[in-house]
Amino acid sequence: MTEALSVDSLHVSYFTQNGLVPALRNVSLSISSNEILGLVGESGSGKSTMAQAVMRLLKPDTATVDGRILVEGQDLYQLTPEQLRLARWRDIAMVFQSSMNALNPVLSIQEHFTDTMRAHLPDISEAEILKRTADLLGQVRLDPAVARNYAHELSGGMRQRVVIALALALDPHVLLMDEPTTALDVVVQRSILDEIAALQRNRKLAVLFISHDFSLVSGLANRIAVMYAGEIMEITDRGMAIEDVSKHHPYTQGLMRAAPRLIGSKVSIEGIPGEPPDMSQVPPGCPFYDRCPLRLPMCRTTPLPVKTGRVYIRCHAMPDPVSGKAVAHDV
Amino acid sequence: MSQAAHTDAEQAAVQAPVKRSSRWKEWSGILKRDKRPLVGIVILLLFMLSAAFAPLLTPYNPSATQFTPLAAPSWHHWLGTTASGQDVWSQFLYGGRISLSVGFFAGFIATALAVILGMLPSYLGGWIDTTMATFTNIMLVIPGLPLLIVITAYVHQTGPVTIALVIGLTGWAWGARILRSQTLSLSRRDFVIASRLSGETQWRVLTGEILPNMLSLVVANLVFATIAAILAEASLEFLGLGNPSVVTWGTMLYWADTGQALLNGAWWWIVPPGLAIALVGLSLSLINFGVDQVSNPRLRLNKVKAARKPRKGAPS
Amino acid sequence: MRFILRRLGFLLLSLWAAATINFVLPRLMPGNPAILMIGRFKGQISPKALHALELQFGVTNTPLWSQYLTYLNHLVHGQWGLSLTYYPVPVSRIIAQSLPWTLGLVGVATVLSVFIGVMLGIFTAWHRGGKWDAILPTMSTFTAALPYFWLALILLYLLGYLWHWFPMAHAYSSTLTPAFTLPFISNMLYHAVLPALTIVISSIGGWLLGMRNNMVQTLGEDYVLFGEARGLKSNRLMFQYAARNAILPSMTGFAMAIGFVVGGALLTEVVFSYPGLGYQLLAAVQNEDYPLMQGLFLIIAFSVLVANFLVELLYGKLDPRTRGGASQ
Repeated sequence: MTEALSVDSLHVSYFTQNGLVPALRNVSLSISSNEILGLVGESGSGKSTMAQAVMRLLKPDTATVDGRILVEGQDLYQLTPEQLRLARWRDIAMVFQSSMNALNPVLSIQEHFTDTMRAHLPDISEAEILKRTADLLGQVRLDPAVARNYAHELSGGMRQRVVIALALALDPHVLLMDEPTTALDVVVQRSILDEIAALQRNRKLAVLFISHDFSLVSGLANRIAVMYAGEIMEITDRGMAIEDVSKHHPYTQGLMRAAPRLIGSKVSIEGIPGEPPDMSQVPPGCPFYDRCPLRLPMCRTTPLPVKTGRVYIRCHAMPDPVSGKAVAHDV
Repeated sequence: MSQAAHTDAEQAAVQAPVKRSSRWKEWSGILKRDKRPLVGIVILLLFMLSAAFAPLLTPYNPSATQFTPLAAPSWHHWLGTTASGQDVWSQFLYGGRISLSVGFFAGFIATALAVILGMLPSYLGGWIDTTMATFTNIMLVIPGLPLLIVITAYVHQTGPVTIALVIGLTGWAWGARILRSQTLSLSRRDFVIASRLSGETQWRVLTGEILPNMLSLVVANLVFATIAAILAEASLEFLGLGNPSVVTWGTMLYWADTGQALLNGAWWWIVPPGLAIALVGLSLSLINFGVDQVSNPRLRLNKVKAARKPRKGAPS
Repeated sequence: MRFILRRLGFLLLSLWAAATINFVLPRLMPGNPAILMIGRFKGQISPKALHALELQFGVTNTPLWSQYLTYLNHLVHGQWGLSLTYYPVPVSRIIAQSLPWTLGLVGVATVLSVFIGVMLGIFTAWHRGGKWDAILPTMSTFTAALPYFWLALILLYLLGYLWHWFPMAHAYSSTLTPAFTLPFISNMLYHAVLPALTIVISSIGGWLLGMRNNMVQTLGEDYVLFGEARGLKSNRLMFQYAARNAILPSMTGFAMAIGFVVGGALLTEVVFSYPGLGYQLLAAVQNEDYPLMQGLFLIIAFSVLVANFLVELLYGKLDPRTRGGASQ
């Protein structure tokens, strides 16, 4: 069965004054339809780059991209500009971070919808556009009259809902969400997350949900990918995420321990000492070496093994949850 | 998104207080990548040096009317002669002295006024700020050259110094507006509020925190004000409102026009002064390309080392 | 609506300020220059006219505020005094004759300049780093630095004197009488080419550079990226998403830009002996015809202010954020 979204050996490097700096290194993952994959990482880990790379939004003179992005079997990077334009939004859509700026200040909300629909369905009638817009706004629990408003007249939460509604406008099968609730207050955050979960269930979407908040993602996603320094360190599933903390990648353990718990036994909150590595000077071995409490001498020089699979851990010191072997070798 | 985040971070870094030494690194970095400011500096230096060393570059007195009138350029007269028999090359060199100094002087006055009238009231706030801002806006919309013409018409004895003063006193409004809005946005920034709260006097906050961060803006202002002043001075003199017996690039053009240079085909009289003004203006604008890039990192050129494919249209 | 009222308020305030500057200037100068002027014309004009001049320029014992009120009163009623050069023709008549020429020249040239400049600015920014982007901005900087009157002289010399492509002076041939006939209009356009070309070449650079820089800024905004992600076509993105936002800052600087253009147009008229306001202004200055000079200054200032007001209204239409209140 073709996966809804398949990222295959993705390498992304940015052009800077000091030459090429890698942002994503050999990232592979896949998402089936009717599944939410969370992607968690701290700032600078490369998660936003991931979103832009998957949508093929990185400009050729900003970054180089290697690898394949397969949306329902079709490689986005092999498409012509016109094919790409049509495939966007229809097959794969994205909810941007900071929707504050995602909406054009001089156009009304309705015009955003009209633009989107006409770009893909040139023969659609005006009446049909209005009807669909009202319908979509209703699905994100907004008053259809909002269509007449302009971006500056809406609150942050309303704008985020509009952006979500826009993302669903053409019934895509794959949805990327890049920190969709980060800029909002907690109460609004909760209701929007609930709506996202409901929408995903109803439409059986494949969702890539990007966030820096591990606990938020673990409540929502079926599987969680943990990213560090441009590489995927671990993919775990929801069941395993709640279980024993020590069964996870050392970095994931750090993330899990850093979040407070409302219920359950008291645990002390710890941060992860140190800082992410400078991507222009990445060491050959594991990038987490400097901050890892479980590090072995080999971790500094031996590169991490390439892994594929639904769940895995890439670490020289931790057993792989699937095979149970302590020192991982090529699968 | 990455792009916005990238450049936002850059911008924040530039607008936050920057130490002197790293500022120098910024400027030299920009100069290395973008040749235009360098070209501008070279051109400007050429003019300034040739004006300064005029006596070494020509044996003639610019006002001496002893030569054959309207002679074409030759070995004796590199730029030919005027209708009254003066050597154009000498006029060009000596005239440059006055044109350039009047330009810089007036530009300096206008910028100084812009700094005082733009920064101070907005920092003090309240009705002082509102009144001054409205006054500035009014001065902005009143057309400059007609006003200059009317003022100089009333002043009967005009000369380069008077002209410089008049231009400086009327040309501050544009800079004042820009500096005001920058002061307003800076005085709300955290580091300024922090320094105020820690007990710094208003004066120290102004000169120690706000002014250093607007330096590139003030320099850009100075550049534009000087260009505008040189143009305004030349325009007034061309119209005959300057002192025709003083040799400047503007009065050269005045005499060329009244002396029917065109109808006599004396292009050597008309082209050099005007071209000089244009080139000086150009050099200052080129320098300003560099100054622009200091204050707004988004405009910086990124010389990419890897092979670049020429982009057709923004989408990848 | 509040926006329109605010801009209208500013317009009226500036008009008043321009009128006041006009009133104050001769009185500010050391040794009222009007005295000399009045002395010159003493024998040539009627005593009543002489007295009006004295009042107009403050060579009198009536208190200042009274002079000011009389001045404003006359201004509003269209009594702008009598011209001394063309005595006893009223200043308003001379203005009425010259105004259309300047409006036509400056108006058409500015529209062309703005349109072409903005379009080129949009395209160079969209294809940033391309070959046009390497040439046009630098070229525009050069043309923007050219003194208006010098460019006029060069064009006059090359295209008028040397190659005889266009006439060298005036608005129309002296052999024709103004009429709405095709031969006259085409003759008029023929004469207008060089002056208009001067203005366009000199002013286009500013629009181009301004628009380009604004576009570069706007193209980095999230809403443009989001639009691209939604699969919108390039043209739509370029115009409705980028350009329409990028042009807004340029419009707020329009008054200043127009002020420069008017100044340049003034010089251009002088070079080409084009019978507009600028040409008359210089003549007035040379003849020390202060009433005419004042009147011309006022009308020039007024025109710029009104043009700016109209552009501000346009801005209000383009940017919904100025309208305030919900669009329900």
